[in-house]
Amino acid sequence: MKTAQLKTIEQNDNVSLYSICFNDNNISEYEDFLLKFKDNSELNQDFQRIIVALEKIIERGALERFFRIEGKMNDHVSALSLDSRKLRLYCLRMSDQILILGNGGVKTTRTYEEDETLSGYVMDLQRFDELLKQAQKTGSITIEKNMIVGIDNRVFEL
Amino acid sequence: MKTITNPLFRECLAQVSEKTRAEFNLSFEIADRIDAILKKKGLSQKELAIKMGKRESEISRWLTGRHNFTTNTLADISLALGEPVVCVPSDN
Repeated sequence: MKTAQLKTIEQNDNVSLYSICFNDNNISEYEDFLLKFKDNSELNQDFQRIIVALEKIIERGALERFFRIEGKMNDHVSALSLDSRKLRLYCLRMSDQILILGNGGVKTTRTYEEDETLSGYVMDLQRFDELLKQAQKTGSITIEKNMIVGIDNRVFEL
Repeated sequence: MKTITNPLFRECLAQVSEKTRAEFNLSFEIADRIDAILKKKGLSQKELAIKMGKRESEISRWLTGRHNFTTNTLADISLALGEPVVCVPSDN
């Protein structure tokens, strides 16, 4: 069974960015995305634009208009993508102040569903979103302004 | 609240070129300006799309702050909104 933990990536008074670590891995999905593309000369411009977009989100909040909806109507899955370019980073936009960053990659197919790797990233986020909703219902985690409370050492089973 | 930063992300940010940052800041500021005019005028993205004969998805792409606007599009948006979206300083 796959397990997942939330790791805080960036946090300030305004916003918190988290990412998911699977199966006791110290490297989160977002850090894996950074490591995959940071030295990729072909995608360097796209990668840098996504990085700067995240810097703006840290300054301004995870406003809805910054994202493209990628999942289903009833989940929080969004993407940071660039017009007519292929690189995208998937995430769960929980609120203007809480963003969970997933993994991402180059979209070469018309929809992400046609790409096994990308649809895997989206499905992981959708499953994690469900687990967070359940944990909120039972009260084991709570969302307070810009923080998810109760995630320290919490292991989710996907 | 404790501020947390991620070293790997910060390392990547430090490598962003001046040109990319300048270009991004411009498109981001234009998106902010369009969003502010829409709010001021009580217009939705859908209403702007109808006014301009565009799809709503196109308007939402402009508002992400990552769109590469052409002067043609900027002129169209300014006309539809009834206000300039960008102002170029004049030397005269």
